[in-house]
Amino acid sequence: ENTVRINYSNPKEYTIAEIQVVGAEYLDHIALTSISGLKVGDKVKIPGDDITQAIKKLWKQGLIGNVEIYATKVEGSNIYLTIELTERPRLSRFNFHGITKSEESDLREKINLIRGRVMTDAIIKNSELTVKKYFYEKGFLNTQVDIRYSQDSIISNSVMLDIDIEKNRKVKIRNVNFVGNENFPEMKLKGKMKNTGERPRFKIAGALIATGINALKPKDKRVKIKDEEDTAWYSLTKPLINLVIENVKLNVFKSSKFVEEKYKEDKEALIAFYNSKGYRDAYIAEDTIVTIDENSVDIDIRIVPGQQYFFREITWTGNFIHDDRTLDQILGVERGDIYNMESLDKKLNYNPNGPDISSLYMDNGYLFFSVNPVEVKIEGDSIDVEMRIYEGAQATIRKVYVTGNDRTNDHVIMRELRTLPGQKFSRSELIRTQRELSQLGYFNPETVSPNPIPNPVDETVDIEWSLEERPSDQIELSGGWGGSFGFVGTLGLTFNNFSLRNLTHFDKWRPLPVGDGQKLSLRLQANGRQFQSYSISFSEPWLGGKKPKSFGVSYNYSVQRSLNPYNRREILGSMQVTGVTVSLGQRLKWPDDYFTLSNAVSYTNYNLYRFGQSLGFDEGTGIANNFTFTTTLSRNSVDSPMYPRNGSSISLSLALTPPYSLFNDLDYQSASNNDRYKWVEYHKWMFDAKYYMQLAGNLVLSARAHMGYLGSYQSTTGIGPFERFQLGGDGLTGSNFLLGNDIIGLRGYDNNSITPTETVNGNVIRGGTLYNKFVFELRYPVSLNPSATIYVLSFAEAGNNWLDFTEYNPNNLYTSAGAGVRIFMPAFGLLGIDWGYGFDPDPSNPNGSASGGQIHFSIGQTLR
Amino acid sequence: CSEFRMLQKSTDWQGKYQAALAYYEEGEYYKASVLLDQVLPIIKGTVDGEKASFYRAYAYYHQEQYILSASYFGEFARVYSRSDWAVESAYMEAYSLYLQSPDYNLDQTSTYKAIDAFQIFLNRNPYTDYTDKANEMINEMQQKLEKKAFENAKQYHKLERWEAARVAFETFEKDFPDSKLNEDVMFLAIDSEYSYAKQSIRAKQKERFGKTIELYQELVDEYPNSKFIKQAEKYYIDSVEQIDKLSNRS
Repeated sequence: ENTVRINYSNPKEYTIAEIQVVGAEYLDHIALTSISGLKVGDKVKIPGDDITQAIKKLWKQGLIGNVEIYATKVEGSNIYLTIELTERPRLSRFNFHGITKSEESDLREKINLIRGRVMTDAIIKNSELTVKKYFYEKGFLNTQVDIRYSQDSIISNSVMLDIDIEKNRKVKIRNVNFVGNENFPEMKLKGKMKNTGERPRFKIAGALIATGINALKPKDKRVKIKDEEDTAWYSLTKPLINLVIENVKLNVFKSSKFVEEKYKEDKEALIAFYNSKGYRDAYIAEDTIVTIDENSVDIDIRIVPGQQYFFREITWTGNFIHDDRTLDQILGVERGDIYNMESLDKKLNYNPNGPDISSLYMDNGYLFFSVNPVEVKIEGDSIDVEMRIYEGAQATIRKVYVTGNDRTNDHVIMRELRTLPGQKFSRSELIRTQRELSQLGYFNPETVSPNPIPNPVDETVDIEWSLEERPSDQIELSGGWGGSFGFVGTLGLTFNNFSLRNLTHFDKWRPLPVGDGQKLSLRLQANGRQFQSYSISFSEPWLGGKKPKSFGVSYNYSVQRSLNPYNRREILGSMQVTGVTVSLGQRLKWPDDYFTLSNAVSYTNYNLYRFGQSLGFDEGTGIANNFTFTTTLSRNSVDSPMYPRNGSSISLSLALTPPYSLFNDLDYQSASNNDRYKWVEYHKWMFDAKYYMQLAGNLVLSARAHMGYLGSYQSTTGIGPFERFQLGGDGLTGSNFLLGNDIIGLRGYDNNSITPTETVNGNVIRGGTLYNKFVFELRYPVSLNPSATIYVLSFAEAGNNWLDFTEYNPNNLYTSAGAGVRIFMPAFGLLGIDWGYGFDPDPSNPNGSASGGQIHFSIGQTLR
Repeated sequence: CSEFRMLQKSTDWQGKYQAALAYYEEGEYYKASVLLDQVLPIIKGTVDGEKASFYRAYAYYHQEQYILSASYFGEFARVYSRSDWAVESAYMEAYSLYLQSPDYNLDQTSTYKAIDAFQIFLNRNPYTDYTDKANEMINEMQQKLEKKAFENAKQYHKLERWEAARVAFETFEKDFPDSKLNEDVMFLAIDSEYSYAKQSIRAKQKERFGKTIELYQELVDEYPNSKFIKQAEKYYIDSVEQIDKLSNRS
């Protein structure tokens, strides 16, 4: 009844005089008009875009089943429009029947049913397909889906869906048979089909009995098992092997479900395997899936391998910078080699295990480089290949920028980058920078990625470093029994990406001042009045922001008191230790740029008041001062902080106190300890080496060697009780650090059990002055996820601790072996537990039995 | 069960909707947004639906959830393009993005998005009360981007990566031709190139002193009265001398 004629060849502009909505019972007319974007008084072109847009807008809301806009009347330039639509019921809810809870929750995520949306036939059909696809992927090829809908009595004009699912039984693969395969063992081909495995079976007992019965039968009635060669060996083994192959299929890791898509992938993998062996023309002539019964199928695959081909001539064209010989050497393909495009491609484009042609060019700025191998001649089984090279221009880096850093400031990242504007593009610098950014610890190492954006017009390239921040702060909150102190509580906080200058800008706290790459650690340890320890340290890796010179400062104070055991209030004696350290470090360029040199000055004051015999002071009261200068030379090329696979780290440090004994007139033989220790003197050498090697896959061998020596400038002064070595156990610094002792772990023995003692002037001093320790560890990762890195390890280690050089014997070591696990979580740091077995008797009981099994816990990276 | 929990579980969407508006008026934006999220699919296509989706966007805006508010304001402006609130909503979309834009030394993805959003807003609605404010904010964000590029180039200068610094300063001039910082930038480019030439091997020095002279001439043409002229002139004179020496030697 539309009486209006519209001339389609000549669009005309009208003014809307009226808009009517027809067919909407539940929906609001005004709202619909508003959504359509049409308004009375608007000028519209008809035919034109406005009406189409209006229909689209209405349709996009998903509210209506059908919509039509037409003109009811035209008066001059005025037009009367009608929007006619059909309403559809809405979906109020939907239920699944016949499946498990977990399947239901999976499906609810996959299925695109939104409650409140208008139902259409398409939505129902799509839902059915989604459900079917979900179960097909799980191998339920006989799944039946039935969708019923009914009026929902609670909400008007709406329906509920009931989705009935009958999964039926899984379809599994019984046998995979290859026809026409004469080139490879069948097992090999099956191995290439990663996702299409055969059903596990173990029927050998039955088959053995059958064979046995068969053998008992008279010769002419025996069933021939296979055509066998008539040698004694063959007649014995071949049937046996066949028997096993046919009847045993231990299929633990491979799925034997039949999934169409995976099967297609596997067919491609099969052809790729043939191609890689020179069968360039191999194809699958036919493959048949034979239904055996409702839950199993056989697969027959007929492969036509074609001819095996070999490389003949390889020629290069378009190469001006590198000559044919250089390129040939890298490619490493000889005349007569099996024709394998896959490995050729690796050598051309990206070879993880060695040099490739692309990196030869790309490391030197030829970003636009490309190489295209073309088969120019095929004769018999020989193929000539021409490598067509486009070298392009050398790309210069124009802009370098960072994205994704919503906590860490630009300058902290930019200073670490090795890709600089003005340089030639280099792929290897890109890879090294990627590694170094991962090591900063502020970003998810798995997602640090450089995106080169070439601008071919001016032969430049921009490099975007796309990063993803991850939390890097750590908290330690623990309580435990600390020997004689009873309960000791510890609170430790480490902020690895701190910003000192934002400390006063509260608006920049997120939730703390972050982003300048500085490190701030706070640690409190106390059990009330008897023992307290506080420390704070701050470090800045780039002092002044100009050179990678690290600066660190730390302060610590601890006090240990002996209290009157009756009232626990009166202080009978105390020892207070106060220390300050300032250090400066810098990266070196020579001998190579993995070296670091750092120097530190530290001062520690020991103030004792009626505190035991540990220092042999008069009445246990006195003061000792320890002023040292420490220099450390180290080299670190370890590839990853959390789970290192390659690289090594070596560190040699020397700590010196001033040689007071050369200048003062003190007679060290007869002086009291108060005078001898007023200014402590010694020199201390420490050597630590670690080496990591990837054995196979992620299996890593870690070897470590540690040595330390504490000496005096003059033999007459003797070595005091300070800074000595204590060996054995978990290596955790408990409350014994008060005299600056080095606590070194040795698993399989009690804590600090391998610690010699000596008596000087009637005063017992604990600790060795010379120690050795060697460790071998095999590590294997369980999870390399940066939010929880977990690995297991087994170890063998050996060490000893001697009083002085005259006793030193590197062959006399305490040995142990064991296994353990380490878990790293960004918020808690590294936690570990080990079980170790000590093979030698404990030093306190030298003639006893072996030290035996011990369990050790560890917190944080153990240095030694 | 609190009243809010009851409302969450109720199937009476009218009641939910009214409660949501009431919560909104009381400033309980979290509760309002939760209820509005629940009723919106049902009341879509009614007059209430329009109001509800506008209020939802504001509820998230007041909770400082600018990513969500930007998205909901944007959606509102597109769906209800003829609504009385459409212009405000389009502006609030851009403004929400603007509020997300962080300090210059962090990732500026949201800044670019905000600038684009304001630009689109201005193109579609050239004459509104928001025009001045929008222009002001675009300027502010442009300056932030300038500062970012400037500081990053300056860091190369500080780290004495001279070539990188000079290239970065030159790129800055191309990217921000009318920046107020250009005088400083041009001088720092000369300073970088001069220092670079000084420490180069002899074979490269001639070319790099030459580049210093070129950069100096550009500065003189652009800013004849620059406050850096004196220092720059010194570099210029020395560069000329060095080139002289190098030419005589060869």
